[in-house]
Amino acid sequence: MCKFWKREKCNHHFPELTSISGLNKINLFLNKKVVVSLMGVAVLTSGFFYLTQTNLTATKGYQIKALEKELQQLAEDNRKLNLDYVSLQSMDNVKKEAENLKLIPTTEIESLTLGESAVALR
Amino acid sequence: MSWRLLSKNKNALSNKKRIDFLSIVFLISALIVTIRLFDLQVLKGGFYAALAADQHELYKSLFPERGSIYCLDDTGGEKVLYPLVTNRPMPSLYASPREVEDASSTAHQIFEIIGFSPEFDLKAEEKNFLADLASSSDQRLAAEVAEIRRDDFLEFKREELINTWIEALSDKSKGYYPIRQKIPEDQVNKIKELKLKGIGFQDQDYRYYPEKGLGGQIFGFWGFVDNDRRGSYGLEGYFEDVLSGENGQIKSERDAWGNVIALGKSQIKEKVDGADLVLTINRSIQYVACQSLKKSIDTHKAKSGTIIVMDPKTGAILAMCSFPDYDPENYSKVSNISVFNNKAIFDAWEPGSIFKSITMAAAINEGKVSPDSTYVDTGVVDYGKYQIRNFENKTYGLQTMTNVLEFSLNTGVIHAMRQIGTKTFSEYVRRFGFGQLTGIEMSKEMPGNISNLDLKGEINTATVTFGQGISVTPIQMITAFSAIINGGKLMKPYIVSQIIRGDDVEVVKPQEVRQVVSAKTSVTMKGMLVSVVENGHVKSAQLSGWRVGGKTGTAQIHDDKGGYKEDEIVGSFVGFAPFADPKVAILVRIDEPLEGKLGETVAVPVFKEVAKFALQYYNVAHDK
Repeated sequence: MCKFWKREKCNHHFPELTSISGLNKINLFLNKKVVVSLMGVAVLTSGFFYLTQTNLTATKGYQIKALEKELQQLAEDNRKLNLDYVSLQSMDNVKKEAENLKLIPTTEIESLTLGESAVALR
Repeated sequence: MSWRLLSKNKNALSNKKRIDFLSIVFLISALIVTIRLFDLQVLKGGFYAALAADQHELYKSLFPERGSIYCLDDTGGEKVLYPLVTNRPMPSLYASPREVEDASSTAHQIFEIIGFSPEFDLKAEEKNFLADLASSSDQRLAAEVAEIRRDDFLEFKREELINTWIEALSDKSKGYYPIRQKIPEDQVNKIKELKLKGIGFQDQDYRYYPEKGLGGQIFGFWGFVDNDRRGSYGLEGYFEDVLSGENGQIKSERDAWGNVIALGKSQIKEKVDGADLVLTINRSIQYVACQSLKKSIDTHKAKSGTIIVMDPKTGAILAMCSFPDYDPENYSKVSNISVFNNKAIFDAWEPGSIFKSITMAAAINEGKVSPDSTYVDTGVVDYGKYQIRNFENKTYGLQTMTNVLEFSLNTGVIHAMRQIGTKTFSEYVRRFGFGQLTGIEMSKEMPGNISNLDLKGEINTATVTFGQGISVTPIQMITAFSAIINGGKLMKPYIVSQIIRGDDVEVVKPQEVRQVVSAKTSVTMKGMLVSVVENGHVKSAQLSGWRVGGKTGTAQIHDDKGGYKEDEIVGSFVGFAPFADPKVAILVRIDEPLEGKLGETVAVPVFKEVAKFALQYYNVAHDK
């Protein structure tokens, strides 16, 4: 018998004490498993979200692209309308319209000249 | 400890190391991918966005829009930009031969819709293949033959054009083949309805002029030079670098087959759109000036003409017009390219009697004569074998310097010049800016010719005093005349008042070149020039309500033998209004009128119409 059997540290004669240390290892192993599982779940979740987001982004991208094209088309239509607008303001057009409206050119313009005395409100 | 446990522990350790190693590898890989993604999506995002964009967007992102040319419209106090020259997108028809399925059918169908090019001139071609029929005695037979030949010619040209297209569309090595530019909208729709494979449209900007016939020579044109488009003549030529902007660039690495390497080194340089110009031109005055000038040219059956309206205080050009002019939108149809030159700055002429105002201003400024100084007109100044006489060989006797201008006496201005001497007179001519460019911002300005002033013999200078033996451009003449009436300051003429680069607006300010005559001389000269209109030979220039000053000119035209042509003249008038504070200075020049052989007859009516309109437009108060 070991002379140190009463000492706590001497456990090679008490295999159950050794199994306690094994338990710790099992727990540790279990913990690792949990961590790895959690990581796996996290990776899968992230992957799922990533795919979802990528998909959403791509869809939004197409929508943005379509809207951009529409915007571009509207800008070009606006530009054409502006050109029509300025063409209608051209002197030739204004002259034609003046004739259609039977307007006549001013021949003589008279200016009113005030008298020399100053004028003021009472 | 058993060897099994030891081995197990060793394996666990080894596994842990492997996992750690792999974790590091994955971490580094993830880091590299992240950095590369950041580089691709953020740093080089623009480049790949441009590559991913369609052709139209790519074109727009790389090719700058040419700047527009505006004038300022005064709409009752508020000034609004109005485009005189701007850009209009027009569809160009192109083919991608690699995608075309049936070249022959495609070519035939396209021809059925767009036909011949608008530049195809059948009448010009007829001159060649119908030339021999002109002398035919049997007109009926000739007409029938002409009809047959015309049909044959058109069929030949049709086949020729279609075959050219078929050949191009069958060449599968070509990715792009331009068929025609500026396709009208109805034709575009018809072609789109056919849904032809490999046929498409691409918008391309062309210059558009909302005001037709409003001084094409001022603007110049934007045309093709080889495969590039450049501004030529006028403002388009002078401001080419400003209007054109800067092209964008895509730089990328290519593989051995010439394809872009997606992950290679690449960069994009954004385009810079061209700057816009704002002119000093007043659209309303310009329109009236052009109309009035054209009317006078038609009425008097003249060869050509020019008008310039200037703000004499600043040198700003309010209107500038010449005829014959051209339509810059169809510059390629011009048969005589000399029409591209702006007569107002290019075409120097012997100004004749309107130059007397310059001579008199010089003599008065030197204090050697005054409006009331007298001399005796004998009707002739003798230079040995040459004699200089007055118009129509008239003799006037005792005359004042004011009379000299009123009756346009050649002998009188020679007298005035003799008081200051030829050297001083020559200096004044130069100080008024003759013989040198004014610096107006338009292409192809000419300096004129004052070399006679350097010749020995007083006669060479004497002829210059009344505007012969010297050539000046209209812009030089109106600028010098403005100096006489604006207090004596020679202003640099300018036509661009603002240059707009995005949000940055560069305002062009009036520039004084030099003080040529004193303010006192200027006032004196204004009075004398008003007297010319009120008491002299050009009473027809008077305006109801405003005092007008001015001087007519009826200049002879040089012939090839060193003399002057018998019946051809250039009639001109240079004037201002109102007297006290001149708002406008106007020069009108009418070349070689067949009817009306005096400046008073051909040029004064134009001056009156334009001056009256301008004074009413600016609400200038009556001063008489």
